[in-house]
Amino acid sequence: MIKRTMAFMLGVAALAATPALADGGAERVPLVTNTKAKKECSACHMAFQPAFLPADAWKTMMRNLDEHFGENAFLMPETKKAIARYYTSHAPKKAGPMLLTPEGETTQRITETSGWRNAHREVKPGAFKAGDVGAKANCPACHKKASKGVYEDD
Amino acid sequence: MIHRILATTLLGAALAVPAAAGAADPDRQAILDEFRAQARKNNPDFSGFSAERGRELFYNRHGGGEPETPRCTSCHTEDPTQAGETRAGKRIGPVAVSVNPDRFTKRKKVYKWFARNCDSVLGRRCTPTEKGDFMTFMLTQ
Repeated sequence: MIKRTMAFMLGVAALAATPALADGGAERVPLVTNTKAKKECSACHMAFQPAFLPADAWKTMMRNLDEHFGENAFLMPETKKAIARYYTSHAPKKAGPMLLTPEGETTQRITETSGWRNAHREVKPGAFKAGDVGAKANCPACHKKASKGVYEDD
Repeated sequence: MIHRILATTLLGAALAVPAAAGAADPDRQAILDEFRAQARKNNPDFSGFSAERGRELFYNRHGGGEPETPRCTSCHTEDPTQAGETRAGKRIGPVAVSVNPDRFTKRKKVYKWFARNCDSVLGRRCTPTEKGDFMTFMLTQ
C-alpha cells in the first residue's frame, strides 16, 4: 500500500514536471518542487522556475553566488550543490531562442531573455518601479497567480 | 526507552516555547556568547558589546560593498521595527527583536545572513564584535 502510494505520488510529480494546460486554459509553468531551492531562493525573491533559463545559465549562476546580481548569496556547499543539481536537471538542456537574449547569448537574467522581453513589450518601463512592484524580478506583484505557475496577461 | 526519550523531547520542547518568546532566548544567548568568545580571542581587551556601536553599524553609510547596498538600511529601512524589502521587491521581516522575537535564534541563519550582508554592504566579513554589537542594538529595538 505504501509502495503504491509512493508510486502514485511519483507519478503526480512526473506529470507536474511537464507544462500542462490548466486553470481555464492558462499555461502553467511547473513550480519549484525542491524544498531547499524553494526555501533558499525565496528568501530574497520568488523561487524562479527552472524552465525560465537553460541549464547552463543556472549552472553558471550557481557557481557565482558570491556575485549574484550585485549581492552575495552565499550558501553552505551541500545546500548549493543540491540546488544546483535541481535546477540543472529540471531546466531545458538546449536553449531555444526564447531563453536567450535577442542576440542569441546565454544570460543569467530572465528579464533579458527574448521570451520575457516579448511578453512584456507592452508594459511601460515605469510600471516596474511603481508602488509595490519595485523591480522587474517581482513577478507576483503583477502576476497574481504566479505562485501557481500561471503568468497570464495581468 | 523510546517513551522516555519522547517524554524528554516533549518536555524540552515545552520548556523551549515560553523562553523563546522573551528577549532572553537561550539560543540567541548562545549565539551572542559564541561571538563574545570569538571577540575576546581576537582582542584580550574586549570589554563587551555595545548597542551604540551596533546602531552606528546599522545606520552608517559604508564603502567597499555593492553600490546598490551602501547601508544596512538600504533594504532594512531606517526603522528596524518595520518590514524591509529586498532589491528584488520581496518583504524582509523586521530585524528588531521586540517585534520579531525569532530574530537571531537560529545559529546557521545568523551566520549565513551576516556572511552575505556584510559582504554586500561592507565588502568584507564582519568581525565577531560587529556582529555582537549589531545583535545587541537590535535587542534594544
